[in-house]
Amino acid sequence: MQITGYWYPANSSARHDAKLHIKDGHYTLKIVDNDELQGMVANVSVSDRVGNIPRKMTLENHSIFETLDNNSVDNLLHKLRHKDGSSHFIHILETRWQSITIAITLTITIVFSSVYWGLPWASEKLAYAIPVGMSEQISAGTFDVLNKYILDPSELPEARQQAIRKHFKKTLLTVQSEKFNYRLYFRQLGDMPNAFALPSGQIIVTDKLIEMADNQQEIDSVLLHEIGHVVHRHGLQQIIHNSFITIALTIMTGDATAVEEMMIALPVFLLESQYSRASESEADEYAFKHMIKLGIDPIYFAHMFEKMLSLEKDENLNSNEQPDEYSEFLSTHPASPRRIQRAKEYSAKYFHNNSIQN
Amino acid sequence: MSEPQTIHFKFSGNGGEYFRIWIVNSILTILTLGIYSAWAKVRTNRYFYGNTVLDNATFEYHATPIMILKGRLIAVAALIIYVAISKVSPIAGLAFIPILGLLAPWVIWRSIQFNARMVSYRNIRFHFHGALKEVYKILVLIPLLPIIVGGILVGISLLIDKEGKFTVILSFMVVIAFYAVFPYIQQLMTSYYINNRQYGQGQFSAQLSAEKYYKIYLTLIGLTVLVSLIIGMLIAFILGVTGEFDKITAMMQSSEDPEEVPIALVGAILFVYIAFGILSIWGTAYIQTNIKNYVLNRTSLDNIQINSSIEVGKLFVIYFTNILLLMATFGLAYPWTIIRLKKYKLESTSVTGNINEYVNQQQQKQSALGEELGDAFDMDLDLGM
Repeated sequence: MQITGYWYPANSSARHDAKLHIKDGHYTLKIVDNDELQGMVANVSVSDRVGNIPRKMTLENHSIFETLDNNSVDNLLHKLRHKDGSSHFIHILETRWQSITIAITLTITIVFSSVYWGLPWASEKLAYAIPVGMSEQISAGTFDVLNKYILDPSELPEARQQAIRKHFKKTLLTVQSEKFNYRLYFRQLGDMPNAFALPSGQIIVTDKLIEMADNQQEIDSVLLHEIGHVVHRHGLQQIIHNSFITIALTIMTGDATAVEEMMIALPVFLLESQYSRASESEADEYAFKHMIKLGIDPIYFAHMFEKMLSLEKDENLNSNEQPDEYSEFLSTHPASPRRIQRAKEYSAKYFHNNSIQN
Repeated sequence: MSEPQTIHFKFSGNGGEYFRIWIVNSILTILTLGIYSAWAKVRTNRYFYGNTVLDNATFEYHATPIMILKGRLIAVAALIIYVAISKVSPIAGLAFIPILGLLAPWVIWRSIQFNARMVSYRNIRFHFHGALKEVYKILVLIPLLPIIVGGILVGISLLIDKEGKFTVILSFMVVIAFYAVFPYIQQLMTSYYINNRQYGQGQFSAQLSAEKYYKIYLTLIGLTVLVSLIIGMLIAFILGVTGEFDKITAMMQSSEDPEEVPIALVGAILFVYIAFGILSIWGTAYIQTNIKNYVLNRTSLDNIQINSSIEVGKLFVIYFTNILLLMATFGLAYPWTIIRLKKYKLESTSVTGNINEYVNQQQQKQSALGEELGDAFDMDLDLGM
């Protein structure tokens, strides 16, 4: 057996053409312009194979024989049962199509399921582990920024604000048991009807939304939806979920450049929107159940929602069409007809319950 | 004595081969809960260095997985301690952050040293002998200066200027100053990185000026503003000519619910989004190309000159198609994209000089000094970031 390559003297960069001859576990290295070297292959240490990069064999006198003939080296190690042949199985894994197929399938399955199920599960567990007092601290900064730079003061009459606030405290808050310090704020956000909740229990409603509502029940449906977000810790879950994905992607892609960050932004966006749709549905369910508890017909949610829908211009485009899978996946809120449908189902349940009681 | 000649780097790795290494690395890392990542890193680095060819000889990566694993275990231990402390006392946890900030330069310094020493070319290793205090100066002192000075100024102006208008402008300027020192820091760090590097006993050197860095960044900002204006005018022009512009303004002004959103508006938004996506990829290619070319063309190893001739257009095409590939394959094309990128960057680099003769000289000097003993505490602390 014969392997061609280069020979380097110990600690030297001087390169000599050389040929390695092997017979019965002995080697003879014939070096151009130099003496022959001889020894036992068992005493030679051989570097692990990675792809087809040059293989290094360190001889007894610390000189090095280097070759590109990886296959011959592998054969030699195998035939002589050399100690450095033991780590060869990694290279075998990397070359057999069977192991590659298994690796691809397993990786995709594990990554997909941990992102799709594992991450939301862990985020939820963590969000519930965070004490209520801490979510207060987390929200403090957000509220200040919103208040100072994004929202304008309310122009609703003070009496109206007081009335809603009183109703909020005396009625809506009585059906939930957790220790959040709920506070209701009225603000303006351009001309948008909107409501949102911070993890601390601070709920912000815009004037436009209040004006749009035809009765107290419609306002209640929105407020209960927001309380649902707080109770289910959706804000916190989203923060945790988001940081998990960011950390995981940073570790996976190593030092991500701006370009790589951009290209991971899209899948992150898709994941986040999918996640927040689940949150919206959960908050809806919370609102429906508690409306029934308070003796409010859940149909008011549908009324309010339909009004907001007709205002949301770009959503209007979609609602005329069939809600297909694609648009569902992209949007942050569940398909609107589905949400209205759920409200109607609960409304039916509400009337059913009432008729039994009466 | 042979004539000085220019030799190009070659990269002999290929996507298919690296894909198989990468996917096995990934699944074993997942199945061993991250422990295999140390082995994975060594295999990956050996693959990339081992396929980097200069004058028919390859580079070699020498770190052992245990060295990498030690560093990672320390990092994980630190993370666990941090989480435990902040659970018990959130304030003590907060105090941990500046400590981490002060530790970071040391970690960076260790890992530059480690990564230099773990690479060799024709049996001669690279070294790094930069002083630790320099890293603190570049990465802690200089970035903090505008914040400290700016903070004091804002504080004073708050006392004098009750209206607050001037203070807002001043605060804004402090933020700009904070970003404006970035090119300077980059230049200092690159100089430090190159001028303290050795190949055997050979010394790398690069004379870099911060002025050039600022020119590159300012040109990019100027071009971005210009292109943004052109995009804006183009959209306004098209909408104006087609009469869609009036429809949109009418829709905006009317309080009634529109029957349908003008398709032109959707189109315009989509166009802007894609245009700015492409613009930012191009911007990255522009910065990468100009800085890499500038730095490498000014770098020499004693009498060996390094040359780099990356082209913005070619780099942009690689970045752009890589992104499309990654999106279409949900990331599975990563090995091909990274190989393409490395190959292009590497093969745009060359060296001029008597390489063979130079390497032989280094070898004689090195033998006289004897082989440097490895540090018993050799470990990689780059945390995979």
